[in-house]
Amino acid sequence: MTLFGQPAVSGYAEIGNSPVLGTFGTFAMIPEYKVHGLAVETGISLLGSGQKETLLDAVMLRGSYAFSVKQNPLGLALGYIWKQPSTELRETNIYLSVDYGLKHWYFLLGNNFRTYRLSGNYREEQGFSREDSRIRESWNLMYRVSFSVNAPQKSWNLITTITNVDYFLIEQETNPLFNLRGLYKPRQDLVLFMEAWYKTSGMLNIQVNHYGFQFRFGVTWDI
Amino acid sequence: MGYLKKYRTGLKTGLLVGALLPAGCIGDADLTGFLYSSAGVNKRFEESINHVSALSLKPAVEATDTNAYAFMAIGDVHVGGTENLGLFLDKAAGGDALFFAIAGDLSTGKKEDMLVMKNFLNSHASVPYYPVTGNHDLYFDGWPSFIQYFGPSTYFMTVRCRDTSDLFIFLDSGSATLGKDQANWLKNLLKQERSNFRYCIIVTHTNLFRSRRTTSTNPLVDELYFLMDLCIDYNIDMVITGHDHRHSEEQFGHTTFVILDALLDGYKYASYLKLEVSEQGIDYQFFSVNP
Repeated sequence: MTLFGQPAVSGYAEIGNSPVLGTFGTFAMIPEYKVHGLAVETGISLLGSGQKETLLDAVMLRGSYAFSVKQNPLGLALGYIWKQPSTELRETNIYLSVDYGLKHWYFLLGNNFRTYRLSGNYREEQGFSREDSRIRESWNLMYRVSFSVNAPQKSWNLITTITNVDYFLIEQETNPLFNLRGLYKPRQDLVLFMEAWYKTSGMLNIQVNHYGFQFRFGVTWDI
Repeated sequence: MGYLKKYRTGLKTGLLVGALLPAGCIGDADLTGFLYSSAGVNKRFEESINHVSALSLKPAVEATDTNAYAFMAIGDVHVGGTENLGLFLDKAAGGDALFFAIAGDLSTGKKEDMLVMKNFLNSHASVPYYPVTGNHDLYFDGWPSFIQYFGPSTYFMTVRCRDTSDLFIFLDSGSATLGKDQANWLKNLLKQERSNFRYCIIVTHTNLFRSRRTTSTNPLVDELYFLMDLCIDYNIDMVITGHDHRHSEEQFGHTTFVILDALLDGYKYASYLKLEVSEQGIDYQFFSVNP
């Protein structure tokens, strides 16, 4: 059997603002390899902010399998995200998700399992037990609902999304994020995209407050 | 434009819901809070720090004979009803607690309920109390009444003991965020003052971690990172929160994160927390108000 796959790489830069990070900038690279419906992607994100101790923000690894159901793509994915919010603090997420794309709608549902922990070095230095160095949260729902103006085959599209999931981030299920994405395909192997994200806090406490926003510019290239 | 016709019914429904929301309240829930808040967290913070009673390192409570003392904490009273609050205050009056903290959701947010809470505390509380807002206290434009009756929601106070002092920081997380100004204030306060105190205890309403799945929300994850990192960097001893209504405890490094049971009338698990502070550390125990 000869393996014939499609490598691709996505990259983006973004600028944003939040109450705790202030103004921040992010740069990410996400290479991917697809063959016969199977895909493996990995990624690295760097976040620069006057309020953050470390530049390396997160790495992720995701394996997925897509097949056709009623002529629309159904995908199953297993993923892992490792984050480094500070020199002592770590967060990991393991997740399972299923997604389904229609002509104008896209749905994703999944579950992630989040653990906060102290870095190994800090834990040993301070003499904390493993039990006292981690917090495991109850399982969390992941979701994404998107509406596209055009069908995916078109050269341009405008997509609005409500979700708690991003490439390197899974929010609590009760903190939805809002996203407007525009994309343009100047040729079949290249996609240029721009995204505007808006974040609120407290919405499901029925006491909403502005939280933050970010603007992202990126490209996906099928190599 | 064919897809607009297809989604016409959905659009009409959405517009109808959107039109009704500004007029909407169901029972004790002010549904307008899904869309906007009359007093955002930065505004509340500014009014809190400019309040006449706020912000001094003058000891608010003194335990002069010893380096040990007790205090109590309650949360989610949701007055309206005052039965469980009365049971708690009887315990507080009969015990050795120097003061008690109220970790938010004192009332429904309605002015008349806040007044009931205020009058009840005035007539039944025999020790000082230190409240913060919860999300419910902000419903029905509740903030002006809260600050009028209970004072600021962002402040600190100290307990001076025989040989040492402890720092208590009270934070407004009624909107599930500290906001930029309060976050900076907290960071600067800890940077300047933490090393001058034996213990540091933070009291706020919205719980940080989801020990169980509920529909109520918590701070966004990057704010959680910020708070957790402050706890690590400044050796915060304890963070006491409410909001979730069911108690839980997590130990993370040096910091103990405690979520209180609700003291709400009719609640099966209603309880209060009693804490004993000494040179050996901070011991605590939950006590049910139900017989």
